[in-house]
Amino acid sequence: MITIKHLSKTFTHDDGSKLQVLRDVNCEISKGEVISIIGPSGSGKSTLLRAINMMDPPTSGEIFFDGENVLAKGYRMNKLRQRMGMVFQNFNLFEHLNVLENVTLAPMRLLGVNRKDAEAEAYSLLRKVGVADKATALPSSLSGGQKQRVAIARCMAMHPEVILFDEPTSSLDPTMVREVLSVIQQLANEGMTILLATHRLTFARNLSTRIFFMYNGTIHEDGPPEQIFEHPVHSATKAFVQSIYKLWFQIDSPDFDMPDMYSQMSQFCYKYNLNDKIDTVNRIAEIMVENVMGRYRPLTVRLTYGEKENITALDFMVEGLATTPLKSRNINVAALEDVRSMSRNIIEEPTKRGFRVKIIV
Amino acid sequence: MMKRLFLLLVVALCLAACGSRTPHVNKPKSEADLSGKVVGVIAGQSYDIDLTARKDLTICRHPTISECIASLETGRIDVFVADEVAVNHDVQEENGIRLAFVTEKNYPCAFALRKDKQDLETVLQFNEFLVDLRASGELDAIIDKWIKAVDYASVPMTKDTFTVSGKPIRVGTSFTMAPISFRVENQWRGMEVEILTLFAHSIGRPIEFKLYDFAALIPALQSSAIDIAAGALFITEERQKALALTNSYFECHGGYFVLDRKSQTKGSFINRFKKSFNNNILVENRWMFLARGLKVTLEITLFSLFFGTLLGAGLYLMRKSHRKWVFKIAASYSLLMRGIPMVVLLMILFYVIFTGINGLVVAVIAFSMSFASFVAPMMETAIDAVGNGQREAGLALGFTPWQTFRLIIGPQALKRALPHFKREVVSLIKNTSVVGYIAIQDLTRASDMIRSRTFEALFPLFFVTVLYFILAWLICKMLDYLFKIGTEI
Repeated sequence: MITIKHLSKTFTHDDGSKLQVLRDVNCEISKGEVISIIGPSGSGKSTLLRAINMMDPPTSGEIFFDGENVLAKGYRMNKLRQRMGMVFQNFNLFEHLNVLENVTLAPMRLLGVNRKDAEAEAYSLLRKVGVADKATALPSSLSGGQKQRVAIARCMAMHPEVILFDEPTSSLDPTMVREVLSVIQQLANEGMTILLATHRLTFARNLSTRIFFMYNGTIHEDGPPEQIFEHPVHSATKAFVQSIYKLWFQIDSPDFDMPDMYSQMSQFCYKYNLNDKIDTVNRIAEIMVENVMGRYRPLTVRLTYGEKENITALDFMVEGLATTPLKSRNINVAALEDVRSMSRNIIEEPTKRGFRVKIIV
Repeated sequence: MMKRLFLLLVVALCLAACGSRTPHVNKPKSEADLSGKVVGVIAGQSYDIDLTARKDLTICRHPTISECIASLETGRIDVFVADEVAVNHDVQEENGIRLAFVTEKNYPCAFALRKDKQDLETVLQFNEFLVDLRASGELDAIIDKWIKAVDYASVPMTKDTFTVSGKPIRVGTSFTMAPISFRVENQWRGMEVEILTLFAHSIGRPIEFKLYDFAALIPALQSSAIDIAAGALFITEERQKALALTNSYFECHGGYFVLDRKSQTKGSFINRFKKSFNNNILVENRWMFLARGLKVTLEITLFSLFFGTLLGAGLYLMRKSHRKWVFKIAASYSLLMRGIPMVVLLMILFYVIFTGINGLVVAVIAFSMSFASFVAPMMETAIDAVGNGQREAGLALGFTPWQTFRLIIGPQALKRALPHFKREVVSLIKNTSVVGYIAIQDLTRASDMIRSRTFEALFPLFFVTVLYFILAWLICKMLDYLFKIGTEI
């Protein structure tokens, strides 16, 4: 269905400096495939999607859609896009139209559907994504999740042959991610051809028939989810799928902004769907920093989350320390007991430059 | 804060000064008595120039006699001087003023032409014509007829039997004052009009009259927009140097007019309103000036609105251009246009650049140019505020760039821009009132014509204010309606 050959894209900034975001991308996408594009930030996931529907036309290379060269002179870009839907990170609903009009505008204007039929279909699509009761509301009155579902319905109204999702949940409140993901899952189940750029590895793994791992502007590894997540061929892929999300703090003065640290930790938990651990993480951090290890400064605090193993941990590191601070004589035993009761495990280990207490939450 | 308070104080003082001035008790009886008085004059007239030489009095300059009378009534001036013939007994009675004395000096009046060969011939022809007219006694008869008339509108114009053909002689006059030259409905009448018409017909040419601002009269002559400048032009040395003047056909005296409380008529507000309405609007079908003026103002406004918006859109596209020089042209255009006063732009276009073109067209060009310079940045702000996401969403659905603009970006930008746009349109309507400078008779000019007949300073102005207000309201309603149908899908 889509064939991409030697695709490259270089952005030229106003000051003349250049940035190559895609280099020699090659791939073949068949009808019915559900492909997730994963990779670190800046690896070119979004740019690849935007190159495929010619939002950001590539600098060189070829794209074939149903055998036709999209980059050929005289190719009608708008006709291509009518067959290739796109869902944006920021929804981009038409602010001046209500939900129903957002969905009916394109089929009425571009496919020549009459108002009655267009509205009937719009209602059935809105019902499918669960926002039919908001049909007459303006986009500004919807929540983020509702907006994104309307955007998906708007896209579906054109009966596209393939839908490109450009990080559809990245600007959503964590509580609203699921409603959008389930709609995408439903589309995939119905056999829609999907290309999805995402940071959500678990979702990508469960949804897709195939994964593109993008690294440094190119498709570094291409294969079924089992291969990518369990037996990656390349070391970069392995490092990425096993990657652990980290949050660092260095407490080196009495003026350190503690409330800000707690708030960042809460947001971190929100982001990775660890809502149930927010309280525990904050409580442990508070007791450890202020009571148990109150004497040790500078103190490095690190919050980590490994998506693959689903492990959340809090590390407390002190430089130049040879033995564990937990065995020290003037330790606050009662506070330490509190921490123990809240955690799954506590590991004490020396590091190259000092000593670390790792608390698995 | 202090600055504002200070300003307020100054304004209050000015108002107080204006309001509380009492007229000097001693009314002047001769030119010597003017010492120490505040004298009203019409700016630029010979009386103004002569009085300026005297250092013992204060001069207060006015645009027309109506304002002089109003100033006299409010005590801002003690006396004013104007052509004696222009303020006849009826006008004096009506406005509660009287003639105190006349100037010792005579002011001979003539017509002015360009100093080129062909015009000098015309001057000679006119002088011969004048000699004949005087010899036959006709000239005195005409002057007598007009000066002694009570009801100017009913004075008959001399009919002649000459056959006329060819291009008309174009006469510009800055003077709409009975009995010199004035209009009744659509017809020019008066002493000067009669003499000039007889002259033109005697040399076999038709004639047409146009009203100009005094300041614009000589430029109009020099740029060949008119062939003869008229309007009780006094013969002065400067004029003789720069222009070809005919012989004098009439000698004018200046009259000094003072307030005559005894004859002032007072009535209830409603009666005075009724009387003013009758005088200014109904008598001699004077409302027709207003109707024609309204049409002209409306035409200029609507055409400028249309072409100005188009030009503004063009400028907007230029501002968005990736080529630096295109952007710079558009940016400097806006900068330049904002710095030029509308009157100056109009005068330059009419008298320098588009000399052969109809004034109405020039006005539309000038106002379109000015309006565009406001529209372009307004569009830019409004369209930029819509955001790139909306554009991308439209394109991604398969709309062409034009459809995306028409259906998605345009309606949103329009909604943002509409209040600002309406404000600019209202100020456009009001700004059109300066077209009098290029001899167009718009609504404001229509009120000037009525004022010059009735000498009421304020009523016609109040009346046209109401008309402007209604016009602005209607055009805003129209824009709202256009917006509604423009954004419907």
